[in-house]
Amino acid sequence: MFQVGYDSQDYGTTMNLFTNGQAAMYCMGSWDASMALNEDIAPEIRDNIRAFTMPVIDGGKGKATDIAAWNGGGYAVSANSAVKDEAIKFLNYMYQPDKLSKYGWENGVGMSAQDQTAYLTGNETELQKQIMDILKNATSVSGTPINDCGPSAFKTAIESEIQGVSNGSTSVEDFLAAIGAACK
Amino acid sequence: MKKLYSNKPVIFSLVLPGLLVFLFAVLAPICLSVYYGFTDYSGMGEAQFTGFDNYVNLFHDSAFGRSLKNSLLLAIGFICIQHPLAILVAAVLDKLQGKAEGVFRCIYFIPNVISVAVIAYLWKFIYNPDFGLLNNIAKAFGHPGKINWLSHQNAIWSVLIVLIWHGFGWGMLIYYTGIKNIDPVLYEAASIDGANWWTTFFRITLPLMKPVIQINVTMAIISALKQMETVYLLTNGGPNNSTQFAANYLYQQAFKAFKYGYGNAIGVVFIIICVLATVALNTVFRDKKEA
Repeated sequence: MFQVGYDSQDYGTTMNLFTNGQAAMYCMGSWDASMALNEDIAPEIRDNIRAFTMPVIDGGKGKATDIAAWNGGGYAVSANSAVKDEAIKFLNYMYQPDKLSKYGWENGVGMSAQDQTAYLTGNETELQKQIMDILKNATSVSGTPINDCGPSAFKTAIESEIQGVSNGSTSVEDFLAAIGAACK
Repeated sequence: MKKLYSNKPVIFSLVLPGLLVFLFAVLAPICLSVYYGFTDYSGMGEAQFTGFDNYVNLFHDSAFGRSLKNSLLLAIGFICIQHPLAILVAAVLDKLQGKAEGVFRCIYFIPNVISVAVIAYLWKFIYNPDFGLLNNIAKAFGHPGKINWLSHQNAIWSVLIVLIWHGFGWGMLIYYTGIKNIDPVLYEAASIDGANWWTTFFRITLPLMKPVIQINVTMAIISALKQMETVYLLTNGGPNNSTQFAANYLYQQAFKAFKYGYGNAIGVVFIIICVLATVALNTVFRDKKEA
C-alpha cells in the first residue's frame, strides 16, 4: 500500500511531497484539513485535496466506515497556578461544542470528532464536507488510539516498535513483547 | 606585573569566574545526573529512589546496546575512512600551492559551515527512493528498482556516510594546519637525499603529525559517541532503533518518554564510556611515545 521507504519519511517530508504534487496520497488526519485553505500551497493542489477512508481487505475484520476518531488535544492546569480557577473556567468554556470546535470548523483549520452540521456556513471546502460525511456515516468510532492509552514511556516505545512490525523487521510476537514490557 | 601575577587575591579573582562556570555548568549537572540516575524521576513531581534499577535495565536494553554498537561503527568509520582521507587530502593540498590550495580548502570545508538541519534534510532528499539523487543516478546506470537507502538494513550505513562526509572538512583543516607547521627544511633535506612523495609522507609528515593525530582521533571518538543532531533530524534513531545513538536515545527517554531518571542513567554511563575511551587513547599514544 505504501511506497518504498515509507518508514523513513517524517511528518514534514511527507507533507512536502504531497503539497508539492509529488505524492498522490497522504495518510493523515482531519487536523490537516486546513491544507485546503493554505495559500502557500499551489491552487491546483490545494483545491483538489480530497479525503477517503482506509481501504479494507476482502475477508478482513471491520469495514471502511469503521473510523479512527477520538477527542484529542487535552489540556492541563498547574495545581500551583495563580489563576487556576479562571484557567479551568476558560477551558470548560472553550471546550463546549459551539466554541473551540466550531471556530476550528468555521475557519477550516481542523475538525473535531463531533457533528458539525449545526455550524455549516456554506463556505466549507470540499475537503471539509467529505470529512464531515465520513464522520456522519461512520459505523463505529475507535476512541483514544492505543499509543495514547498509556504513559509517555509506552507511547515512545510503541511508536518506535510499530516501525519494525510494519516493515517486517520485527515479528508480531516480538512487537507485542516489547510493548508489553513498556507497560510495566 | 610580576607582583600582580604573584598576588594570591588577584590570581583567585581571575580564576574564580572560570571555576564558577565549571562548577555550575559542568560539575553540578553531572552530580545531579548521578543522583537522578538512581531515581524514577519523570521530570515533574517527586523523585523516588530506586537504587540501581535504571542501570540494570540499561544493560538489558537492546536499543541502548544498539546505540553503543552504532557509536563504535561510527568511530571505526572516522578512524579508518575519514581521518586517513583527511590526512592525505591535507598533504596534497599542502603541495598544491597558489590559488588552487585556497579554493579546494574552502570546498572541502563547506559541509562544516552548513547548518546540521539543512544537511539532514538535504541527505533525506538525496536518499529518497522515489525522487532522490542517488536513485536517479542508479537508474541512469541501468539499475531497475528503487533502493531504500534508509531501510532497516541500510539506514545505519547511510547515516554513517552523512556523518563521515559532514565532519571531513574539520579534520582535514586541523591536519592541514599541522602539516603547515612542519619545518620545510626537513622536506628539502629529504628531497636532496632522494626521497619521493610517499617516503616523505610516511617518514616525515606522519611522525611529526602524531600530536595532531592524537587530538583529532580523540575528538573523533568523542564525537562518534555524542552524535545527536544529525541522527535526530535524519532518522530519529529509526527505523526501529537501527540508527540509534546514545545521545539521541537519551533525549528520547528523558524528554519524550518522560523517563528522566533513566535518561540520566544513560548520561552517566555515557560519561563513563567517554572518560574510559579518552584514558585508553592517551595510554595508546603515550606508550608509543615512550617506546
